[in-house]
Parts: sequence; C-alpha cells; structure tokens
Amino acid sequence: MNPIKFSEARHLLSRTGMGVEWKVLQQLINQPFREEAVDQLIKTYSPQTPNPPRLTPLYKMDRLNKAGARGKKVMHNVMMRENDVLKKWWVKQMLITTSPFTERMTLFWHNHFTSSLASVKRPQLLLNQNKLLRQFGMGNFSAMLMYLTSDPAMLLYLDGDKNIAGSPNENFARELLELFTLGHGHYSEADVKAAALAFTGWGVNHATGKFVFREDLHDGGYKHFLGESGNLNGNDILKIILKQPRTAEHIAEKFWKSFVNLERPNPRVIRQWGKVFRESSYEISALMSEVLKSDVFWAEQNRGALIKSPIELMVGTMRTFPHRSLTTKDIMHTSRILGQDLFDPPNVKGWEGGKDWISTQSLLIRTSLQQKMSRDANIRAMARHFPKVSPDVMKQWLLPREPVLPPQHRKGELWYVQNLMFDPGYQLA
Amino acid sequence: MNRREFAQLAALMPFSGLVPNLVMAESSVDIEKARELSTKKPLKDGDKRILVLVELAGGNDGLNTLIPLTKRAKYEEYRPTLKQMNAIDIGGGIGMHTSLKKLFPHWEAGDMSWIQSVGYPKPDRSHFRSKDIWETASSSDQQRTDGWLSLALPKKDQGLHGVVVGSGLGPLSGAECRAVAMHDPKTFVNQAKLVERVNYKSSNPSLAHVIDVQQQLHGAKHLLERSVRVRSVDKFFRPSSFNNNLKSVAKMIVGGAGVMVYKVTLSGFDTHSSQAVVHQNLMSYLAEGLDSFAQAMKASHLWDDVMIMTYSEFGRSIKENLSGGTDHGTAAPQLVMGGKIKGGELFGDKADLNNLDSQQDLNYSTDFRSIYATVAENWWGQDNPWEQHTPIAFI
Repeated sequence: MNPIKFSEARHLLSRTGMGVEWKVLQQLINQPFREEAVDQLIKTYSPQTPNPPRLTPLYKMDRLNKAGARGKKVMHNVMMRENDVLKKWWVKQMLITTSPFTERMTLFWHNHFTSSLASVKRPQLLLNQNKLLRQFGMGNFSAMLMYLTSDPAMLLYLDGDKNIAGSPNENFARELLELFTLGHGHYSEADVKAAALAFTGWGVNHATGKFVFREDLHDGGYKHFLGESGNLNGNDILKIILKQPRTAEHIAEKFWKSFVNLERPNPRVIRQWGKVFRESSYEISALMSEVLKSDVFWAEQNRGALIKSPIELMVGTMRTFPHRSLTTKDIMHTSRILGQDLFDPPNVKGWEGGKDWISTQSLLIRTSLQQKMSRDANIRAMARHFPKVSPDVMKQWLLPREPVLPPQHRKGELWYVQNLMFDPGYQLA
Repeated sequence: MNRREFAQLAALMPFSGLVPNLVMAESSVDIEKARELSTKKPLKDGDKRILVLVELAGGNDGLNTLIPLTKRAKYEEYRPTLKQMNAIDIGGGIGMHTSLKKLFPHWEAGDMSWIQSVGYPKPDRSHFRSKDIWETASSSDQQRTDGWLSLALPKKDQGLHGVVVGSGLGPLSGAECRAVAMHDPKTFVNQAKLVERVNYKSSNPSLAHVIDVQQQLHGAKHLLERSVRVRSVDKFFRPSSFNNNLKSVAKMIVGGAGVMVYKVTLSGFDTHSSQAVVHQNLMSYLAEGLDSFAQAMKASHLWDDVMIMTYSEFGRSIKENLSGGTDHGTAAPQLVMGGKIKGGELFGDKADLNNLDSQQDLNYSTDFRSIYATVAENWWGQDNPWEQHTPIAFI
C-alpha cells in the first residue's frame, strides 16, 4: 500500500475524471492509500443512463422514410435536429454528473465500439447504444461484446445487416477482429471470410430498432475459424475470439494508451494485465483496478504524458472552475471542429487521440477557445471558486508538471491563473 | 532527448522491459537521419517543382475508373449492375469513367497520364493499415512512422515543406518534415496571431509535441500571410468543399508561400453499398476540381511548376456485392497531371481479370514506391530512396 500525495491524487483525477475538481481532490487526499483511492473511484461508476432525451420513436422514422420524397425530407429534418439533441444531452451529462468517471469510461467505450450518427442515421439507435456502453462500461466485457455485436446501430454502421448468405459483406467481421477484439495481425484473411459467413443473417428490424436473426439469410455451411471448425454461427465466433489471449491484451493496450502514456505499451505489462483480465472472466473493473494500481500508471515520468481530448479540455476546464464559460451548444460545436464530434467518430477506428489532438490547426482553435473561456468576465466569475491556497499549490493543481512559461504572479491571481491556462502544459493530462 | 539524457532516464525506469523498445526506436531514427543528411540535395535556384497530392479516401474503385473496353465478358460478369457502358475511350482498350470527362481535354493536350494497377505485395485490406503503408512507403510486413515525403523531399533549410488542407499530416508526418494542416489559409493566419512563442526543449514526448506545433505555427503564419490576399484564382472554382480546398492550394502557390507539397482529400470512396451514383458523383467532383485547378495554374503561368498526383489506400473487389457496392480490394490506377508530365500515356499493365490473386482480386503491376521514386528522382532530382523500385517515365 502506498500513501497518496497531492500530486498523485491530482494525477488520478485528471486521468479518470473530467477536470480536477478541488473538492474531489480533497476527498481523494483523505484516503490513506492510493489503492483505496482507486477502489473508491471505481465504486462511483453508475451503469444507469441519466435522463435520456426523448427522441422520435423508430417506427415513426421508418414510416416517414417510406413515405416518398416528402416523408424522407421530414425524416431528414427530424434526424438533424435530434442528432444535436443527443450530442447536447451527453455534453450536459458530462458537465453535471457526480460521477465523471462514468462519462469518461462511456467515452472510452464509444471510442472502442464505434458507430456514427452520420452513417446510422437514427439518433435513437445511437442513444440505445450509449445505454449499452454505460450498462457494461464497468461490467463484463464478454457480455458487452455479445450485446454490442448484435446492437442495431453497430449492425447498420458496419453493414452487418447487409451480410447475407451467398453474398457476404465482410465489413463487420473485419472490424470485429481488427479493432474490437484481436487486433491487426492476429488473424488471417480466411478468418475474416469465415467470420463474415458466420454472422450472415444478423439484421435489424427498422420499425422496432431491434436485432433480428434471419435464418433464411444465414449461411449454415461448415467454417474454419482460428483453428476451430464446424457449422459456426456468430456467437460461436465470439466465443472463439474470447478464448484467444490476444483479445484481453488488445483491450489492455487500449487502456495503456488511454491511461498511461502515448508510447508503445510494454509487452510484459500488457501480458500481465491481459492475464488478470482473462482470469477475472473479463470483468472490466478488474482490469481497471489492475491498471490504476500499477507502477507504470503512477510512474513520475508518466505525469502529463497524455494529451487532453477536446472534451477533456472544455468540460474539464468547466468542472475545474465551476462556471458556465461555454454553453452545451458551444462545446458540441467546438469539439466537432477540434476533431471529437460526439456520436460521430471519423471512422470505425475511432479517434486516434494523443498527438493527433494537437495539430497546427487544432492548437489554434484551442488557443482561441481558452482565450474565450478566460476572458475577463469569465475569469472573474471563476475566481470566486478558487481555493484559498498559495500560488505554488495553485500551480500544482492546474498543471501536471512545472510550467514551461514562468507564470507571473505580481499582477495578481487572475493573471496568474490565465498564465497557467496558456502554458503548453495545460494541454496535457 | 540525447543519448546521455536517455540513458539517465532509462536507469530510472521501474521495469527494464521498456528499454529495448526505446533503444530500437532511437537508433532507427538516427540511421534515417544520417542517411538523409548525406544524400539530400537542394533544388536548383529558381526551381519550384510543387507536388499536389489528392487522396481519394476510402479506397477508389479502380475497375470503374479505368474501364476495360475490349474483352469485356469477365468485367460484365463481375459487375452485373455496376458495369460502365459509356466510358471515354482513351486508347489501349481502356476507357475513363464518363464522369471524368472534364479531364479528357488535359489527356488530349498531353498534360495527364495514368499509371495502371498500382499496388504492393501482400496487399492489406484494412483502411487504416493500407493508408499507413501508402503514407509511409512501407511494406506490408514493416511498420514505419515517418511519411514517405520525409525521404523524398529535397533539402530545404527554411520555410515549410508541406501544407495539408484538411486534417492529419499523413505522408508529410515525421520530424524531418515541417508541415501544417489547416482548414484554409485565411482562418489559419488570423488564429496563429494568438499563439505564444515558446523556446523550450522537453523530454516528455507529449509536451515536446505541443511546443513543436506552437513553433511551427509561428513560422507558417509568416509564410502564408500573402496568400490570403490572392484573388486572381477565385473565378476558376465553383463553390464546393473539394473545390474550395483546391482553391486554397492555388492561392498559396500563387501567393508564393514556397511550400513544396500540398495535400487535399476527396472522401467517400468506401462504397460498400449503392456505389453507382456515389462513385459517379465522386468522379465528377474529382474531374471538375482538377480541371479548375489546372486552369488556375495555367492562368498564373505556373502549370509547369506543378504536378498533381492522386492516390487511394486500395482499389475495390472486382466482384460487386449484393448491396450494389464493392468491398475492399487491391491494385488500382493513379493519375498524374501537370505541365511537365509526359501525358496521354497509360503506364503499367492494365487490370488483368484473368490473372487474380489468391483472394480473387487484382494483381498489381506497378509498385507504388516506383511512383514515389519517380517523384524523388525525376521531379526533385534526389537519389532514389527506394532503390529496388525503378522510376517510371511519366515526367
């Protein structure tokens, strides 16, 4: 057991929450040990979906879709409006939640089991998928995999519903193996083809938005997949995938990238994390706990080794300084421009993240955004919530490492905090 | 981080497993750098030699871009609904997609050529992996991180190597390339005024990245200020997002930004379903954009300084699927255009539907690195960084 220091509590919070709330930071420091702080954090996870927005039911959308050109137009307008309703709803949850860890993990899984509004065209289905991500986000990964692979949004997104006997569409099968489970290089082209055949017949009822299995479109033939053979169906494929150690290791690598640093994961650590994950029968909380209690997570050189995503930057700043310097609509638009359009990842691989968040283009926008957030009226309002602490503690609170540009304190506290926000280190987590 | 700092840091690491990876990464970078320093030559004084890359993102259907006009039985069998009937005959038994008609005058004028069946051994059908392969000029079983242009570009001590109008640096990534990505030059210049100037070296890769980007912004702002005021090319471009991006490139070239490589993207080529209309539209956007760009360059007397080149991560499956689309495939044609291009020719062998690979897809006849080698050697006068791939005579 390791006693927890201020800088460590800050590190844990900035990696697993949204921003660094002073109040929560104080609670973490009151935990005697790092391990207890981690357990405490994981317990805050909530699998329920808070106040889901009411969206037009799918049967109505389906009816419009079938009602000629005018119906299609109305449907399109409804869809565009509700896309934004959905995005703003999520932004709002991130801003008001008492468990930012839940939102952080939901975003993590959204970036793993990706689907996009742009291609699914049914906001209701993306909301349903988001509920599943929340339900299983700290639950069991094998159950999550079963539910997400038969999730209607996913089936539409990856053409799974078009994958039928006699004319397999490989899109879904390939991404399942490459991105969701094994990782590139751990299966053959023949495995992709076999998996595609096994999933033939999985489809979506457009009126109810529910999964359907269409027996007549399923390929009942003999298949060879990753060394196993038989009349395999989709569920058999998932079971075989879950027997492969690579699946757990691939997920462990994603945890490394999200919680540790941007360098190549250490293979020995990944094998260890993968082992823990498998031995827990794929309990995500077991993997999370292993990661957050590992030496590599706490290592000094990994502080500030990640780059804040646009959502972390905006929502995080607003939770750190509880003041509405941006509206939910501002956040929705700006995160899109900064390359993190919620419910609309750029492709099935999701957001690359890391260094990709900061390009010459996005850094310009981040800079003008921070200028807006720390404009006179905003920073004065924020200042009412500043903790009464020394400039040194303030610095340790807001930045993960020593500032690059020496912050000036002689012009007063507001100026000092603005300086810290414009330091390159403020972009890091 | 230099070697001594690195050794100190390595000694502090709690587990030794990390060290070999880092050492490998460090030394391979050093080898590449050493090689570049020894072989790179500057362009002759006054030479511009600009490359404009057009990425057809998603995997362009090569078989419906250059279409077989003779011995069509196999083609029509594989493409029952998607077969093209009105292709523009460009000789050699080949027709261009009818929606590429705005490119035909450039073909006839000898300013444009096609390289057919471009690909690489053991083709990868993942968008992401294959895009990486194209962007870094690596082989199927080799991982490289620096973009191919970091090896091909001439020596240039100052200014910007590249501008991406869009996102991601792709083939221009890597420490040796000074490149920026932007939405458009005007917005860029206005916003760059807000960024702090920082001089600081960090061993934290994430922080080093942020600082590096800040420094690049300062340099780029300075170079692009004039482009913003260029109006002479506006009239050539009808408004559309692809045209606007090419217009931005034209402005920067005319404004004398001194950038050697520009990249724009046309997206939407991942046509797994309902391909017919989508692909037809994409072909016409492509043709219109390139035609407008060529006219703008000619009007500015810069057409001889510019070479346009398309690329895509792969072609598509020769057999159409039941959704009226095609799946990920292999080799596909690439077009090159410009005043100095040896035009009106079909390089490489045409797609051979009688000789398929083990996945029933096309075999490649030209390795994409031969094209990169041509750019390096014949466009920029560099030693060929891909010695095993011979340049092609299209320049």
